[in-house]
Amino acid sequence: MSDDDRDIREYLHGSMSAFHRLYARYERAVFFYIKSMVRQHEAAEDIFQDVWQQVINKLPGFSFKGAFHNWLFTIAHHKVIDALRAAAPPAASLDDPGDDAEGLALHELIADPAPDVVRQLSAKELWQRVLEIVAALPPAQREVFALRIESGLSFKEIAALQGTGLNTVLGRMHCAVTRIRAALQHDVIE
Amino acid sequence: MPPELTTHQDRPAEHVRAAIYAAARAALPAPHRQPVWLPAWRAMPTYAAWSALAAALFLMCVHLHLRDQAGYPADSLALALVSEWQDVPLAEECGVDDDDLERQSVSTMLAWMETDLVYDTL
Repeated sequence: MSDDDRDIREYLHGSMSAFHRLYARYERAVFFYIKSMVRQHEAAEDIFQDVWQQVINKLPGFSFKGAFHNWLFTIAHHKVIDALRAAAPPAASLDDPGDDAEGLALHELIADPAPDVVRQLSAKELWQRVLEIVAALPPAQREVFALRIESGLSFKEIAALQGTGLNTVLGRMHCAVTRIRAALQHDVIE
Repeated sequence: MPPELTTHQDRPAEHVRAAIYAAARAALPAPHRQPVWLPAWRAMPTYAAWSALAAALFLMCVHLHLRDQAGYPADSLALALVSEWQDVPLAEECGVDDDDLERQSVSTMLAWMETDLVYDTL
């Protein structure tokens, strides 16, 4: 039994400590994902609260057949889609492939080592800059990046969540990483 | 992404977390009814009170029993009055003659028997 499953069972038996552990385990990841998608702190907080409210409401019916984090991020994904549609209907949807490069393999994504810029900026500066670059990515790439970086979901799980193929997801991640890297190197050159 | 980078991530505001925790707390099942058999350390005052009451009742019963066996001034007085009343001739108390009383008793008994006989033969 996973830590998540154990905490869910304990929470359903009345333990708020178990809920705290569950919440703390995913707080940053879920919020990071949502904020990456909506790009506004207050809007992200509203969606974040909605997500957890739905989690709380539906936890008694949780089947324990799948991983909790997949379930959690699926709820977050749907909430984000609803929010984006409500906020700006004509805006690019999550299904917009952007500058996807189809057919890239995972080893191609991780082969390139971190650029020198990572060692030249402080961690906080680098993170702020990455967030700015990510915010400018197309929604589909942004989502893949956010889910992959923090949620712990595999590319296969992200593909299932987005309803696309594995290669599409890998291509989106590749584009996102390439753009981030290029933007950071551009900063250093300047 | 180096893991140390993610330590600077934003977190939701405290009031958001508080609202989520409140919702989680509200969704919990109602607390079970307190069982009658309390844990010993919690029920000590209750147990002590019942024990004290039982001891007091026991002592009272023992006391009453012993008192009955040893007699009691009030009971002795009542018994003395009764025996004294029994010892006093009724004729003296009422100011009538014993013979008259006996005669009245006999005549009353006879009258009752006659009445009873009349009704019995009707």
